[in-house]
Amino acid sequence: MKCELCKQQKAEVAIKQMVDGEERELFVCPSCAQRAAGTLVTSLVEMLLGAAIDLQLPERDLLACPECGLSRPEFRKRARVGCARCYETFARELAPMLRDMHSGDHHVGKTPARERVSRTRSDLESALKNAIRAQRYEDAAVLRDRIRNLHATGPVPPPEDGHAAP
Amino acid sequence: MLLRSAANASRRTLSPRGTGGIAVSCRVRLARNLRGLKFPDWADEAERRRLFDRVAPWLAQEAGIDRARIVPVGELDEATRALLRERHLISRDLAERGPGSGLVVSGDERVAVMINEEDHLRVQVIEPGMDLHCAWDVADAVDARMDQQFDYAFSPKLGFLTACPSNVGTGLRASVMVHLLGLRLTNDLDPVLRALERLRLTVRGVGGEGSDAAGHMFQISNQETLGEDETTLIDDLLETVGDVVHQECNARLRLQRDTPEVMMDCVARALAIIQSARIMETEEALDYLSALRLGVEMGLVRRLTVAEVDALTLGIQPGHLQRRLGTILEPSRRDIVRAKLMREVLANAMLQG
Repeated sequence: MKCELCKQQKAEVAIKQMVDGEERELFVCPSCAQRAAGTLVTSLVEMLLGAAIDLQLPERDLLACPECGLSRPEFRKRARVGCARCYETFARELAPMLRDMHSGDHHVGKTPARERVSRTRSDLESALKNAIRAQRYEDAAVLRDRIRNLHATGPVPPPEDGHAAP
Repeated sequence: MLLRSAANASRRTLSPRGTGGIAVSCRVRLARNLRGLKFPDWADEAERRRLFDRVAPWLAQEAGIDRARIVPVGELDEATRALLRERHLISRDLAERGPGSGLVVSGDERVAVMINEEDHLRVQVIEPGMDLHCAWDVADAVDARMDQQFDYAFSPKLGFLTACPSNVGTGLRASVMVHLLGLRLTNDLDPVLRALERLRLTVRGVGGEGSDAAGHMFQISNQETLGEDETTLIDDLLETVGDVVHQECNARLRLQRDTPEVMMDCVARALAIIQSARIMETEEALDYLSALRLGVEMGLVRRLTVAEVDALTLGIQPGHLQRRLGTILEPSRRDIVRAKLMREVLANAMLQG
């Protein structure tokens, strides 16, 4: 008897499988049997992995900020962060805290000079792309020169000690 | 030395500007941190010292702080810390910190930058009355210079990043100190304080909590720092404080018109007790001086000015008393010295008419 799945190899194994909503016994070759079992195994692995990911959540909660080492329990206890990076590390916990503390959810107001330069640079770069796409080459040349000027005069990224370059 | 001269000098005049002396003084504070460094509470002492040693000399010379002095608060004795605290130059938090924390302060004490308090840097500017815009302009200028020198911890979404999430965004805390004895005497103070809290403003008694705060001095400040720009935050606060000043003004006028005896009794008792008492605790003294301040402003007391009352209000506090005598005193001994000082300063003051 030929395998009921590949219809090529000799059927040697009986497996149970759902076909059109009914459980049927199929006679299949060893490789198709393995493949069918593999599907099951894969989905089981996925299920197990999924469970493991869920189970690992509390474990992940224990992780500390990679920059300053402040642990999650310590952050919860103090309700204060250890460094600027903590705002990313503990973003999930910080979101409801910030909602309670402030009516607004994004900064409006003064911006550091360095930030303004980088914002200008990204604005110019996107304007340059648009100009090239629209074949406005004269505009593009002007924009290109302005970006070059920024690179020439813009601030050097600060060293790690928080001091900006002079 | 700065601290000695500060203790001896009479307080800078916090004279009112069109507010009838009800708004005593105002303050703007900006919290700033540096990218890539642990915030002070999480850094170790060596890290705090390194930051202080590098930042303080630069601030003293380059930040536009006039006649700046460096004060290493973490290395000072208790009495000197108390003195700085009483002059509102440092927070209670900074007063309790160890080495590596300190202050750079201008010669006139209007401008100061606290280093390694809760945040790496906190600029504060104090002005008389309620000229918060003036205080903001000065703080903004110092901040702009610091911005050129240091790489601030900043996120485009959350603004300036601070140790406590309640300060993120602008990092701005603006406050006005108001004297509200009139509302206390007309029993209208509690509803006013409750209304302020509903507006998401913070109200704190300068000499204690609640409507019985010693001296009836209250600091009103913005609670939120994220979502509005600095000028809007200041304008909103000023609008509300303006209302409070107006209500205090009305309360005083009502007292004068309807129950002048109540106000006069309050002032007269205060003066009589000060001129006779031999033992005086700080809180009791603050209450009597508060009554005299109202009395002078309402024209009920002669041979005394608001500036003198304010100077005495500062001078009778523990740190200032000890500095004046050059020695550490037991609280009970301080109460005797305080009573004597008050009798001397107010010897010539008398009720009007």
